[in-house]
Amino acid sequence: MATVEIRDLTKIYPGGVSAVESVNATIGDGEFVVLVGPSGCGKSTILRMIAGLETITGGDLLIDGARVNDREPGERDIAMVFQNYALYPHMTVRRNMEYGLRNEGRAKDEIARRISEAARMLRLEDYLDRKPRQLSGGQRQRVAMGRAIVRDPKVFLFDEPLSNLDAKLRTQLRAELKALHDRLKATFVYVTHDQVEAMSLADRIAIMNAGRIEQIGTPMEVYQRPATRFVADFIGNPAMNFIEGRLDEGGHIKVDGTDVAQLGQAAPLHAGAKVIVGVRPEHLSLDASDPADGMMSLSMAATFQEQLGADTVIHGKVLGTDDALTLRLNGIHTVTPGQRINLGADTAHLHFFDAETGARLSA
Amino acid sequence: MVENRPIGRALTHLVLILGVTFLCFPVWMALVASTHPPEALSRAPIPLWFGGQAWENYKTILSGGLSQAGGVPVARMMLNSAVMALGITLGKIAISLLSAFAIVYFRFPFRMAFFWMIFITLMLPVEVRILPTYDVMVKLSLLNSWGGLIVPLIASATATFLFRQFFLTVPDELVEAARIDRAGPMRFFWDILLPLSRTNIAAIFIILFIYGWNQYLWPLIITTDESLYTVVMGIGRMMNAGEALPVWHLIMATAVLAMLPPVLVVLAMQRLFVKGLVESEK
Ligand SMILES: Nc1ncnc2c1ncn2[C@@H]1O[C@H](COP(=O)(O)OP(=O)(O)OP(=O)(O)O)[C@@H](O)[C@H]1O
Ligand SMILES: [Mg+2]
Repeated sequence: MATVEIRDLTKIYPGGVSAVESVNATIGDGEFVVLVGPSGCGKSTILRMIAGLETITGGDLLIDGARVNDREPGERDIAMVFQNYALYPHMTVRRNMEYGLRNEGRAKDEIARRISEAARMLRLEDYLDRKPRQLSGGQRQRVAMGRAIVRDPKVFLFDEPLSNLDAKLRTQLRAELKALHDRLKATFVYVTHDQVEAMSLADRIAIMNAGRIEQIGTPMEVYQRPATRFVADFIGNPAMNFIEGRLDEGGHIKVDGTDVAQLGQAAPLHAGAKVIVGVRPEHLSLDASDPADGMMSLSMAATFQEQLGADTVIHGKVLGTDDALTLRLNGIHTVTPGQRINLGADTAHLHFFDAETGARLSA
Repeated sequence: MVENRPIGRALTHLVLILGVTFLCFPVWMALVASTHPPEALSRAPIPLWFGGQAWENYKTILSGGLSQAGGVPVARMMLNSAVMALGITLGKIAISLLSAFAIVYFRFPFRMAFFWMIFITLMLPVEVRILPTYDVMVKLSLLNSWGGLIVPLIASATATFLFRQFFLTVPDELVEAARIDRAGPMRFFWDILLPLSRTNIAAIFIILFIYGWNQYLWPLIITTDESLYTVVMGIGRMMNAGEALPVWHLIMATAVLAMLPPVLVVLAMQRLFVKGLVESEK
């Protein structure tokens, strides 16, 4: 069990691609940290630098307080689970799990004990003598996890381990993974581009964009107080709605001339600056009766709806503009295309971002 | 498969049967001729069916040795051929596996230059470089030795290239998983790469064994010692036996024997080869 400390970590690939730029993070002992972000933002690169599979261009990497930049992957006391499993195809499940332990020169009975323990934990006892090709995708992924568990590493690294599985299996393995973490109490660093996976698994989420970490926080922190417009857009499904507003002299934010909020003292913006107002689809309601205190009201023209059973998602435009607007309602609702809907939103649920930098404006 | 009409089928079979006959006829003739006394083969209608001399003919060449071929028994020549062919095959496979491993998995200066140097030698068959090679062998005093017979034929651009192509298809994650599992480069090679290459090795073994077994020019040049004669050389010498009439019945018997080991290798290896194809891993 161990901490992982990342200081100004930078990666520039040969050829000049700058994949990771001065990333800082501290991962606590036993913490489950999930790296999320769009494709190509550098998640795998960070993970592979922690693993030692990719050289570090700049900065320091500390595992358990020791600088490990120049250590071989085998000497960092980490284990990694790959997206495509990366099992040795010619070895049985047992041999796959043993391989690392044998290379470490462990005693036979200890190897056997660890294997049977891991196999029991992962319900792989019946498959120990099979070859990987005789297993289903989910079983293969469990073997890959078993291979990591038997090594009893300081840090577990996962690179999109569930991406190759179907939705149902993914949900099931997600629960198993969470249970595994609770039981092992080990440090997990987990990469995914699936925000549901991130929200449900993580103690803390790190949202990445173009080689940088935009925000690190608990799932509820990043949901309730996204630090940038990018994070606000990335976390939550359907994605947050963004409406343009302006700041007036008194520090009020106005949308379409109506006052929606008073920005806290000393806003870093001058009067007349553009402000982005964000509101989540689930925070819009059909209750537009009293636009007076604490409510922002707006109208939308519906275009189509998605009925999901428990919820209905209505897509449309802010009336009179081209700005897309999404609304999520509990239960079953029906709209006709072009229908005008009056909406309200509690101003406590509004988010404000600087239109230029995307940074959150304290509100 | 494509055509299911009777005429189409009949035609297909006819063409196939003709092809097979055409290919097999010389082999059949060799088999038949090896069972006749010498006189039968110099008379007008060459026999198309077995004669009664099989036992005597094969006994003569296997044990006695033939004055025309320097008096070396064919059994001895077969053994020489086998040692040479196996030496060449195993040597080639070992060397080309290692060079492909180096080229694919290591980053060293002039890596691509080395690769292209190996690749270019594909264009230079033994015959082209035979004089300089001979010169080197003389200077190393390897004439008339197993070393001289085998070593110059071991370097193989073809096999290196084939193994390189195969290694490139092995997923990078396997290397990475092995690194995390504390396997050093040679351990990865031995524990993972080699077992995965099994079916490729079998295929290349077939090709190289036949290549080695059929070597003629190089053994002819490098050996003057009769105890190192190979069976292919032996056949050649029997045919050019000066003024005496070629002993066709014995030559054919030798040819039949010389065909056997490659056939056996193909049959034995084919099993593994096909098995590999059927239960393809991954
Ligand atoms: N070996 C490499 N050489 C050069 N550039 C690379 C290399 N590997 C990755 N990159 C680049 O680095 C950037 C980050 O890649 P990375 O694999 O870390 O993305 P990712 O966040 O894991 O994306 P995904 O979700 O698609 O897996 C990308 O722009 C990619 O093109
Ligand atoms: Mg990735």
